[in-house]
Amino acid sequence: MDLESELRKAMAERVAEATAPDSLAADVKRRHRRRAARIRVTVGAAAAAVAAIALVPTYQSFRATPAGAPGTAAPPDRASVLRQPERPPARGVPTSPSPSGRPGTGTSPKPPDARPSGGTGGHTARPGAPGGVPALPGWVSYLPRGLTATAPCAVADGAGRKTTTCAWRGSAGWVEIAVVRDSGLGPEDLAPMRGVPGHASVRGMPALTADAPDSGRQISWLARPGVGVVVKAGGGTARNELLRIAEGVRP
Amino acid sequence: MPRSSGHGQECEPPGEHTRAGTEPTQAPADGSRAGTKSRQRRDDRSFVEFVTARGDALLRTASLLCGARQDAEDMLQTALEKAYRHWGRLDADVDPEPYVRRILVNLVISRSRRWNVLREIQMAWLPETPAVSANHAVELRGTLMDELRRLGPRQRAVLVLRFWEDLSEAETAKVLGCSVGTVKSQASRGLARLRERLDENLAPLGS
Repeated sequence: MDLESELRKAMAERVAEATAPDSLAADVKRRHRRRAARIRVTVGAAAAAVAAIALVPTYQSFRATPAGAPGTAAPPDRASVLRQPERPPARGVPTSPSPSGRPGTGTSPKPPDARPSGGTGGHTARPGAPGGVPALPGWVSYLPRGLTATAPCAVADGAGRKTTTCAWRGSAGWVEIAVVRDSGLGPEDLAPMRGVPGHASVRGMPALTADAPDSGRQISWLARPGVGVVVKAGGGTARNELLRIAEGVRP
Repeated sequence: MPRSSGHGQECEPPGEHTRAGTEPTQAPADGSRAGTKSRQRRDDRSFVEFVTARGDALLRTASLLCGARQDAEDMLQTALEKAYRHWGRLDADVDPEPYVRRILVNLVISRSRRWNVLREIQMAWLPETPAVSANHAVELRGTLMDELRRLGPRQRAVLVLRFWEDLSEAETAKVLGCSVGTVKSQASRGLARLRERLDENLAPLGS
C-alpha cells in the first residue's frame, strides 16, 4: 500500500466539498473593523480614566485656592487652642473649646448650646474667661491670638432672617463673623457686595471670596441649607488667616 | 503526545505571537529599504481578489490542519484578519499566499497546543474508541484521516503541507520556521505512525 498516495486521496476526498463562503473577505474586514473599534474604545477608556485621575485633583486644587492669603499655615508664634490643648487660656486672649467635644482636644467641655442664639448674644461664658468680656462662641474654634471680643454677639432678626454677628479686634487685626439663618437663603444672598468674587472651598463646601472694607478680605459659604456664614478679616495677621478662621466656624 | 515530537531538533516556536508568524516576511531587508518606497503596495481591492481566488484552497488546508470544518473557517478568518492588518505593507508583485499560509499554520498549531492542555486537564480517563467497522476496507481513507487528526499538530502540519499543498521540504521548513532536517524527520515519523496505526486497524480485515 502506497501510504503517501492514499493520504493524498484521502485528503482530497475529505475537503472536496469545502468551499469558502462568498462573504469571506467581507467577514474578515468586518472582523478587523470590530477589532479596531474595540481597541479604540479600550484605549479611549484608559486615556479618559488616566485623565480623570490626573486632572480632577489638579482642578480641585485650583478651586480650593486659599481665600485671603498666600499661605494658610499658622505662623509659629500663633496657634489655635486645638493645637495646644494643654495650654490654659491666657487672660484677654480668646480661646475656643473643641467643636466636637472630644476628650483631650479642648480645654473645657463643649457648652450645651453651641449654636448662635438670640437673647444672650449667642455666646456662653466658660471657665477661665475674663469677667465682663464675652468669651468665644462655641461654634468658633479658631481665632488668631491677640484678638478680643469688643462686644457680645449681636443678633438681628427680621423678615424671617436671623443674623448673628460677632466681632473681635486686637493687635492681630480684626475679625467679623456673621451667621445668617433663613430658610430661603441662597448663595446669591452671600455674594460679596464689592469687588470681583473668587472661588474657594471651606471644608469641601464651595465658597466665595472678595475684598472687604478696611483693607480686609471676606469669605462666605452655605454651611448647610438655610445657614450661611460670612467671615471678614483685615489688618495685621488676621487677614492672612481668613481661610483658617473660616474652617473653624461650625454653625 | 504532541509535545513529544521533535526530540532535540524542534522548530522555533511558531505561535501566532511570534513576529515571524504575523509580520510580513516579504519585505526586503534593511539594506534595500531605500528602494521600497517606490514599490507598489497591496491595496484593499487586491485583498478581496486574493480571498476570492484562494479562499477555497486556504479553507481546505485549514480543514486538514484543524480536522473540523467550523474550526477551519474560524481559523481561516483569524489568519486572514491578521494578514489584512499588514496587507498594505506587502509588495504587490509578491504572492501573499505563503505569508497567509504561515499565519494559518502557526495559528492552528498554537490552538492545538492550548486545546491539548485543556483536554489533558479535563479527561481523567481514556476516551472510548469506536469499534472496528465491518466495512473497514471501504473506510480506509476515512480511517486514515482520523489517524491524521490524532497526530500532533506539528506532524499533521508537515504532512498536510508536504502531501496536500505539495510543498517541498525546504518550503515546508520555511512555513514552519524550522530546518529541512526537522521537516524530514517529522514527516517520516508521522508517516510511520500512520502506517503503524493503520496496520493495527486493518489487520483484522487482512488488508
